[in-house]
Amino acid sequence: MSIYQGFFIFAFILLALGVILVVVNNLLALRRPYKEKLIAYECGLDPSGDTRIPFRIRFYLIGLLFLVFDVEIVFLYPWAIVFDHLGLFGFIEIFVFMIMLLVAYIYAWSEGALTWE
Amino acid sequence: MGITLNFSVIFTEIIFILISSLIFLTDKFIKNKNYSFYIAFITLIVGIFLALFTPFGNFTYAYQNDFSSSILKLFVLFGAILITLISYNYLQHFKALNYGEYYGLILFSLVGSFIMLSAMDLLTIYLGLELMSFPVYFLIALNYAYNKTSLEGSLKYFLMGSLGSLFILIGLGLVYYFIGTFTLPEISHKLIEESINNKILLLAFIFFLGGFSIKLSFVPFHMWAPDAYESAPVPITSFIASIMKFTAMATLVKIILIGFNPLKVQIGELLIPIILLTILIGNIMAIKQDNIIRMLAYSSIAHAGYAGLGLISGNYAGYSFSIFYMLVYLIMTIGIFSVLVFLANYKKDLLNIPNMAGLSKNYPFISFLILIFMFSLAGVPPTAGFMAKFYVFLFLIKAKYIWVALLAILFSVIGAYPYLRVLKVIYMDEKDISFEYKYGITFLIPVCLTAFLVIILGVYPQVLTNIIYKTIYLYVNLFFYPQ
Amino acid sequence: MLEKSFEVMTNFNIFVFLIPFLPLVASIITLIFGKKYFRDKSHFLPVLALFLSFLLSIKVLIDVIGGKIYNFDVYTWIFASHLKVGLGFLIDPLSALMVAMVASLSFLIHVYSIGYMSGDPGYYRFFSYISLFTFFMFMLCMSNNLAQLYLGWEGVGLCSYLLIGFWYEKKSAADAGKKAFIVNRVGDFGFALGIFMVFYYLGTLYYHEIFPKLPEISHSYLNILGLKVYVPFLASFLLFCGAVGKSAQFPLHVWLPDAMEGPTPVSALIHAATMVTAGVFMVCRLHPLFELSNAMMCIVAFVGAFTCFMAATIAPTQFDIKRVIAFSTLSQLGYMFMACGVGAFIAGMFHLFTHAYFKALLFLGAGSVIHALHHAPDPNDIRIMGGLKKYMPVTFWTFLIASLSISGIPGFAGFFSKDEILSQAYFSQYSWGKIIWFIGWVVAAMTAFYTFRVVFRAFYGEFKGKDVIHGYPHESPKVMTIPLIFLAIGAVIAGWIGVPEVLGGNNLIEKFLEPVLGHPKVIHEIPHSTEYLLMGLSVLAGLSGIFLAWLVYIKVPALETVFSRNLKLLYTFLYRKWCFDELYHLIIIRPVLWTARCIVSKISDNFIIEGIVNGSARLVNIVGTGLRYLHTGIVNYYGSFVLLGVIIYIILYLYLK
Repeated sequence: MSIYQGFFIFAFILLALGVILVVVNNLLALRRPYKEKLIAYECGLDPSGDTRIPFRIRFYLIGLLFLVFDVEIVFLYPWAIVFDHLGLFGFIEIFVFMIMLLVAYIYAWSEGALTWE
Repeated sequence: MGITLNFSVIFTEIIFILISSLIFLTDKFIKNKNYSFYIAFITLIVGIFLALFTPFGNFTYAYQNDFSSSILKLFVLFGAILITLISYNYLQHFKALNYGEYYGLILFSLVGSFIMLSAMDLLTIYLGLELMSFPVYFLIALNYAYNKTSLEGSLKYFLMGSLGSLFILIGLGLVYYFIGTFTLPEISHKLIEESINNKILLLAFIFFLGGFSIKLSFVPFHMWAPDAYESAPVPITSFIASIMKFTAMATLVKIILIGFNPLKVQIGELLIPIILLTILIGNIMAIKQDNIIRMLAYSSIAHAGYAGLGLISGNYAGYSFSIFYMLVYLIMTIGIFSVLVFLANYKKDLLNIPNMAGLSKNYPFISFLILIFMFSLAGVPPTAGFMAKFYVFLFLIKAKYIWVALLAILFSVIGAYPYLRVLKVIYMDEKDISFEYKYGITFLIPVCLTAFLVIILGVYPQVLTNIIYKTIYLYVNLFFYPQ
Repeated sequence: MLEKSFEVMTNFNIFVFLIPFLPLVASIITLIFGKKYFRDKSHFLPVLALFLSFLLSIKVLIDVIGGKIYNFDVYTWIFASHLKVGLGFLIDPLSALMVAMVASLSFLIHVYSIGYMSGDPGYYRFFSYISLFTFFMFMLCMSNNLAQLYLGWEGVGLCSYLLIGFWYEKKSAADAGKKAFIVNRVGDFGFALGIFMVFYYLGTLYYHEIFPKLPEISHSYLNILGLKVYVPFLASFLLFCGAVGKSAQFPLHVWLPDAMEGPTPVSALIHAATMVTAGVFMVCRLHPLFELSNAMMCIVAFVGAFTCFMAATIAPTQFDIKRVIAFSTLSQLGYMFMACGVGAFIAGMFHLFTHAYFKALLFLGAGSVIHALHHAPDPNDIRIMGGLKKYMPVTFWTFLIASLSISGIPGFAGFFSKDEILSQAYFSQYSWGKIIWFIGWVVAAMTAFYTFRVVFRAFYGEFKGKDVIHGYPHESPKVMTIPLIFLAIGAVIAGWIGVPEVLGGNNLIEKFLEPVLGHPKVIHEIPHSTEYLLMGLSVLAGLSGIFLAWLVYIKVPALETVFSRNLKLLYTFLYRKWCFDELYHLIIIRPVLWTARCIVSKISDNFIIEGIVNGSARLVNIVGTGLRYLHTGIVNYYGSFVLLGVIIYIILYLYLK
């Protein structure tokens, strides 16, 4: 408790500030809504069309693949640092790891996950 | 203890992973549509031999192959072989599912299951849990061509599974903070020797329980189950219901017996409301279902509850009968879902219970099989379901939880209704159904084998119960004499 | 219990195991495949199985005579601390004798049924059921614990119900089946309570553990509502209830005459030789328990005596040939219980053994006659029979042999066994022995009378049914008459194993059964002259009965209606079977139905039970519907339920405990 004292004070002030800002605003603000104030902003024009745009799943897939291979790279960094202490055993081990991911990569490639369209 | 690396101990898993990767890579390039089935099936058969003959030993301190894990792996492999056979049958008729990845994913999931069963380390259990669950998410989604809601079911399962993993990790963190190690025997020893505050460990265990309960579909963590079960391909539903639950229960028993041994009784008392609620809600919700797979989903919730009754009893026999119940449930589930595969192949709307009326007139064999499995699910002697329920209740009463047993019996009476209703519709309603059918051998083997086992185990369960007793005693020995 | 030294085999013996299981397998296969595949050849498997069982039972009997006893467990079904329920076999002299008898009779009756039931649409069902019955009977006889005895007990009751109501489209047959099962159930309720008592006081259900432990309870008393009840008395009384139900003794005898609705081979097998003797077998098997309580022995003897007498008074008034034989069975069963009641268990078993043969023979002979007359509207009626001696010679001679046997004519089996009972009753250590002897002696005369009444009316004189069946009857086919011949041989020589010493014989059966059933409880010095006198008296009784029957039915036919005209009230009382059916209807059935209609149906059924049942169903419905609203399908809600569950848990268990 004594170590984190500062932290707790800091966190408390933040929380309080956030709450106060929102609550006081809600209580004290003047509210005079009319149509033009409430509609969506579209550079001054009247809003036309649907607000929702179709989301390309491709983005999600790219993100997913990125995540997996990025994590692989993240695992490679510490290995690279202690590489010389690990010797042959370490080398073969990381090699096996990369082959697993290579299999996944080949599979994703052959399934067409890497093409855009 | 040093880190011993006997690769021969994990030979089974290595083979499975390699073969599965092979399937993934080469399935695109092979013309024969059933190539992956043959490879997977051969691998499973080889896996049985491997499971029998893999030497006992440790691979680091995290993975231990001994009698108990071999036997449990054998049970899982047995179920997997039957499921593969019935999948072959199913995929002949539902050709859009016939990807090689289907079998590859099943093999991956089995690897995860093996890792969970042989693990001696909480982190390894977590690894196995994730490895076991992920392929199943994809397998459920494969059904998109036939059931648009399969994506929804899969995603729900995924999200709930992630939530469960979250809880398990929180529990892991708590355990590591207070005990300093993940290895199961050491946790118990530290609990006894250094008399760490039991309440904290109980809190950690509650988190674990939350995570495992999602897999085991205890209430209130069960809500993904009906959606996922209904929208998945039928053999995959049986995979989830049988093998995943069996593995999760066996692992939970292992965690309690080896890891949290001093807290056995308190954990038992903790489980009472969850289990009773599980049995009650599982049975009540099953009553109003018209889709037989949804009904079986709710009933599988209830059955997980019955198996959990063994966990409540807190004595070693109770734990072994928990595993026995799950094994019997595995056999029953594979059986009834194989029959449902048959029905789904030839007339899909038969999966709706009112449409099954009059099935017994032209299809006495199928109706008889459904009779056996429904009786076993309801717990009618002399089937295996009755034996399992009887022993679970017996040891519950021996542990002096009489009111729990009474309530559970009361709820199980409610639960007999859904099964008997199916039987009533099949046997006593007057309608005519006829469709062309053919009994393939991949249908007959799983169905006849499971029906036979259900009846035999109802009369002579001693062989299996002795084996399971031995595995529990092994766990206890592990606790007293850690390797 | 074992006085002689036997070699006890405790290993699994395949021959003993196959004796009951061959008929079981045959029964199941015939039931499943009989309708489509076997049809008319459905008899093949059961007959083959029974033949093999018969040979095995002979082998086992020879083993037991040579001094071996089998007592092994096959497997334990339930093993829950104190309760051990399992499948096990005990072959000692008692059960070996019983098994051999059941096997031989069942086999012969299976063969007979090929002829009797040919052409019946339920042919395959019949054979399946009687094989199943034989399986249960074997399990009953060969069991080494009370639980398996109960299994066989219930099983034979079930098969009896199935077989009595075999022609289930006929309402009277279906009703008779129901009646048999329900009356049996009443007895079985007491039987089950008796088994519970044995388990409670002795802690085990296995015979070889019960008998050594009996001295422990020989001085214990139970307090029921202030009365001090002797425990062995209560236990054996409850067990005896089962025997009363199963063996159709007073007051649970009402089902046996109605059971004649079943096919005749069923009556021969079940209601003459095997099922009804299960009660006697049980009493003999558990005789140490019964002997502990003198009051119980008295009850057994007098129940048997009363039944014996009552049945013998009803039998001469009946016109249905099968009903006469049914009452004769009741009467003879009474003899067996009288024997048990005076401590002469060996004599009771001996009479059971000989009775099986000559009673089955009587039934099968009657069946042969019925089969020949089956075109008649009521083929059982003896009033349309007559002069069948010349049309059905084999049937006549075998029937005559059986009748002579049952009447106790020297040389035939019945003489030796009945005489053994009577003399042991007279010389019994129990004080009621002489009364029992007297009743038995009088009934012996009546037995001869009503049996020969049937013989003279059916086989002598003129055939009265010429118009009814449009022709003359002819002898039954060989497949029916050959078993009759075998049974006739049995009815004669079955008695020769028990020739008493006074007549120069060795009394083999007494020596054989003595290790199991104990020495007969007779006074030590039996004067031979009195024995000869008693023997002479019983032969006299038999002969006088035959003479009286000859007088009434052959010599002076007018005498026939003398009794019925002059003593009309008594005659009607006897004809209506002592009005037991009416009595039970009045004091049990009508009040129960009235209560059901007025009270139960109105109040508890409509109001309470319907309320609870429908209410609970409605409750489940409401809860289910309510829960359905919880399962919205929105994953976010699912997750929040999970989180809620975990939080509630944590709060509950950490801060309330």
